[in-house]
Amino acid sequence: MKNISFILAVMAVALSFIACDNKLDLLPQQSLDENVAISSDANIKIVLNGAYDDLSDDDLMGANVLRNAELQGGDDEIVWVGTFIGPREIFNKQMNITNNDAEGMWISAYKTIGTCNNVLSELGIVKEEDRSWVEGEAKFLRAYALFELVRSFAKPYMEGGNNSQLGVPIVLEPTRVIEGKESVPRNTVEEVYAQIISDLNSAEALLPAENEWRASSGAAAGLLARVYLQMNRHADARDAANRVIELSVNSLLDTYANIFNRDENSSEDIFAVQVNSQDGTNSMTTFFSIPEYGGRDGDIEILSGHLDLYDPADLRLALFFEGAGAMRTGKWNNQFGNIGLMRMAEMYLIRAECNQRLGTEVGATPLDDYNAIHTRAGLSAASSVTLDDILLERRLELAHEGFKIHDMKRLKLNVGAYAYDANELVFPIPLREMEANPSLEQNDGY
Amino acid sequence: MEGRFNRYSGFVDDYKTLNTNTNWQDLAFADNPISQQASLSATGGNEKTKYYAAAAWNSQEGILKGNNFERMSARINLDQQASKRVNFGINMSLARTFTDQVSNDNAFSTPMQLVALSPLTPVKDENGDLNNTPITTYYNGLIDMEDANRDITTFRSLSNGYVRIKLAEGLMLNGELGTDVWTMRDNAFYGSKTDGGAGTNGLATSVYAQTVNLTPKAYLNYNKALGEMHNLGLTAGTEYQNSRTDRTRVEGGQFPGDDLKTLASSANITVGTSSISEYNFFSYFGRANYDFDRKYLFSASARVDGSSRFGKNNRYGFFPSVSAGWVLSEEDFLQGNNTLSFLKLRGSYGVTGNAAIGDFRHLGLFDPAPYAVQPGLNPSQIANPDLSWEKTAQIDIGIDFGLFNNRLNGEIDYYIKNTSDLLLDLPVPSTTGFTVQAQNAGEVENKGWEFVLNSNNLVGEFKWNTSFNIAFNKNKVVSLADGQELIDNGNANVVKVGHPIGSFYIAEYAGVDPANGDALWYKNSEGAGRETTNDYGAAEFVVLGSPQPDFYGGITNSFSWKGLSLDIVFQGVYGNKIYRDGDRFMSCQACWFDNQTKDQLDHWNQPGDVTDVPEPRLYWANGEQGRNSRYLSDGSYLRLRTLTLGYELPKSFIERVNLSHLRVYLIGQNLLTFTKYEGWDPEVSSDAFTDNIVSGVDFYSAPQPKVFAFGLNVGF
Repeated sequence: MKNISFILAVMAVALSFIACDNKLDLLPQQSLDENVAISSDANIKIVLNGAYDDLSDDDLMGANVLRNAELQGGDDEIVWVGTFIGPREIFNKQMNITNNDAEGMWISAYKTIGTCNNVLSELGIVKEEDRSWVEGEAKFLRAYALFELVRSFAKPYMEGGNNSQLGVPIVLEPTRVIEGKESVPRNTVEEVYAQIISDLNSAEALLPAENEWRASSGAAAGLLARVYLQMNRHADARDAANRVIELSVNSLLDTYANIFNRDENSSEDIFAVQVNSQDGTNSMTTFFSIPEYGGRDGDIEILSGHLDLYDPADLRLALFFEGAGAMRTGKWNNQFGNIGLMRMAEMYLIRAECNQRLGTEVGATPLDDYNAIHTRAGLSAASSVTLDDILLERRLELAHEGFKIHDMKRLKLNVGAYAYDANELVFPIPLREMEANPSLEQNDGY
Repeated sequence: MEGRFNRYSGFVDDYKTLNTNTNWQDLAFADNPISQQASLSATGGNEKTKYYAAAAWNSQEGILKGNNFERMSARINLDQQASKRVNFGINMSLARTFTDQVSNDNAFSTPMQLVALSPLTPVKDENGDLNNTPITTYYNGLIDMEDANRDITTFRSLSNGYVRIKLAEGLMLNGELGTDVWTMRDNAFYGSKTDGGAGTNGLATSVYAQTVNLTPKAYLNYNKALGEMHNLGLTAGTEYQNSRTDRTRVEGGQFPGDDLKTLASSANITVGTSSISEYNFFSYFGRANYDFDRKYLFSASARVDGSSRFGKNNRYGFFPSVSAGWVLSEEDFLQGNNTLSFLKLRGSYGVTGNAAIGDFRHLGLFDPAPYAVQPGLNPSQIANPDLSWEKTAQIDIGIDFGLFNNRLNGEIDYYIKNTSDLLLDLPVPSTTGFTVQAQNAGEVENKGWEFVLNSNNLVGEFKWNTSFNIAFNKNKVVSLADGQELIDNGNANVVKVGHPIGSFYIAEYAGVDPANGDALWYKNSEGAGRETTNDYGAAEFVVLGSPQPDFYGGITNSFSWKGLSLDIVFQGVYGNKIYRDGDRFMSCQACWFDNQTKDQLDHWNQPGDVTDVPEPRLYWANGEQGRNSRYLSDGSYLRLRTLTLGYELPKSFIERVNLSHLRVYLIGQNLLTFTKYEGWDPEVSSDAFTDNIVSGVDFYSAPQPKVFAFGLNVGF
């Protein structure tokens, strides 16, 4: 009989498991259902942090986008010797529609925009007293991603033109269902820049001047200055840069070398991607540095064509070092360090350049701004300055920080054998995107 | 260039004298790896209790250095007749595996990637330390063999307890409870000299995972013979499955030295995470069998399955099937016919369901996205509340036959298998913030023939049996989502309507322009057709084969004489293609500093040269960009899979030592291969690049080893 009771016990267990339908209602434990994720004030703010995380993706500002700008414009100053085919294609101006880096950047940028749109569409849930900074940060991040997209995937903005050349799609609403309306076409370059400026103007007005590592009003104005400069709207760029300087929240560091490889932002950093040993990647270290500092094998070498531009006494020259058989920049030797995206020196240089071009002295004379940067590098102050001086200063001060190709395009300089507006200097719309979205039109030359 | 050569020679000018000529490939392979196996088994019991017990052990040294595997297992089956009406029992098994593992194919530290290093480079420096970058072209994977280790231990316990109660004559109530418990511990340490650990003074990871599957099942079984002629069987029941996986992972760096390898010594824990995943299935099923005089056989079954993996709207699937058979050799007109000794016709139609998709794919989800040591969330998956079962309807018609008193027997089958509502990650425009949505879409057709033939060529004291099988399958994607022709994830393998799944959709290589050494491509576009171009971007992709063979098969010849036996097994495939993905690095006419395959020496050199290898252009793509047919190969092969020589010790001897049987044997695996494949091994699929679309890709993948194994079977 003992056996029988054992049997009955087994049967009872078996049958009790066989409950019913609701056993099939399982929810994941590492992910949150979308209806919960955007249902409260606290959650919307957490989703906003997620948008920063999207922007910090290594395919975007974490920061292959900076690397690509250096590779694409770096002829005779740097050389890509790594084996990765994507960056090699970018360096050689030989990109294919299957280029992984173009695809990764496109996807990450629109993921960032999507997360921002999720925040912006639910602002009503956010506590009234916090609504303005939440909206401001989301608009800043959306504009950042859209700006990087349009200057990589479209022909340059032409001042004075109608800029009807194809830009990138503008998406302002979150997608919650796939219903066949997702195949959006490309907007014009004009429309995209208008959207960026509108978001940034709004962000600058909404954001506080001090906001720890988060986007501040200074970051929004600084990005606006950069956008106007790219459009060659020099007066607007000058004024925006001047607003950042006059906020007096950020300031130049005394020692150039201290700007880089930082675990925490310095006073010079207006906006930086936050990386630590547990979270985030610093792909600038991966590609510009060597294994000793957590880099790959030294995929990017600095050539004499760049090093010869410096005065031998320039402290910025001293930052370069020899490692793994070639010269390297010392700006990216902390694999867990923050990635500076915008710092005060850029604002001084924008103000100097635009004042010089316009013959104005808004905020300061071009000479004073120039000297602020020039003397920090251990060089003696100049007594006069030309536009070329300022442009060279900018090229040296901001070298290998992701400015190269964009400056060459706005200055209409040839890049090797290619004109500034050559097809080869525009990324292809990724093949996967062309196949998933029949409304998209490919760039010329692909 | 000289600077590079100097560097690769260890900053000396040995490259001028060719003093060093390192064969890195040899260093990747272990010296004479050995395999061993042994097994024991015993059966016994009395009228009421029966048992079976077995134990086995095997150990394999891998063909690659640092790759070893060991498995121990034991099993016990116990059945007890508790009373006239009740019997119960339990089948249990326990297995432990231990793997000493190297990195996957897509890592500099994997031994096969040593072939990329330059023969100019000496393995060690003057101090006897292994050379590394910048002297080696890439990270020297031999450092991993000295300074890194990864051990994976798994335990798996499978048990099935059952009870059968006879409720009435022919009517049984069955209850079963299956449990499957799998645990894994994966510990790795990468020392301060390895590429994994160099940046952090050593790096250790420790992963622990456990999966528990519980499957209770209850069903009624009724068997009844009605008179002499009619036999009826009925089954109905219900079944539930719960599967839950827990996983924890810890990772840390900053070790006091390379001797302390556990995370207790890490000064900086960089990853600490745990996760839980779960799914449930719930089913009802019923089956009926009927045969008349063992000549006419019929059966029908149906099941309803529900799964937590599908959307609320569609989580249940209904799956019926029917089959019929006719044993012609039981009919009067064939009975007693020794030439056609057995003949059966059979046919079936059935629908089955597939839920092989990850958990929770129907939900709209946000995932954790921490940033700056603050919590974050971002959208990770778009919802599809309609997600449901993938369904396969299959028609099968077959003949089983036996000739000459069944000395020659075989089977012929023809089938058509239509899979619809495929579970696919369909691409969506990434302007939505998502790249794919899990959907049911499209249809795939498989149809083919299968032949099996067994022949007892010689009977008597010297026996010779031959068994032959061959299968032809045609796979075709009939449709995808509305308006969709292609799923292209950026790999050479795609899903394209009208072609087999995983077809290679690539630019077609047209050789080399004799005038200037440019790689040429066929345009393959409308109008341009077979015109060639040196602009890779101007070449349209075309389907140029698939990883699926036209046919595959095998032939086994077994010879035995007294206790001696010899089994020879050949296997082969025909008509599949392999994409040599690693060749864009090792066969790119020195596009970079990777050591090159010998055939690259045939490169174009001066105008007029006719060759398939373009002009070498360091740092520039010339024929290796993108995905293209230059690296596509025929993967057909015929291989001597196993050769087994065995000796069963005579009864008279083993009974004296109280054993029921004792066999010793020697196995040789993969001793001969006939193939035109240019890579290491046609029977290969990269462990780094294989999924439900990608297959047939060779990326520094280790070849199948030639193995010699000694074995022992003992029965009590």
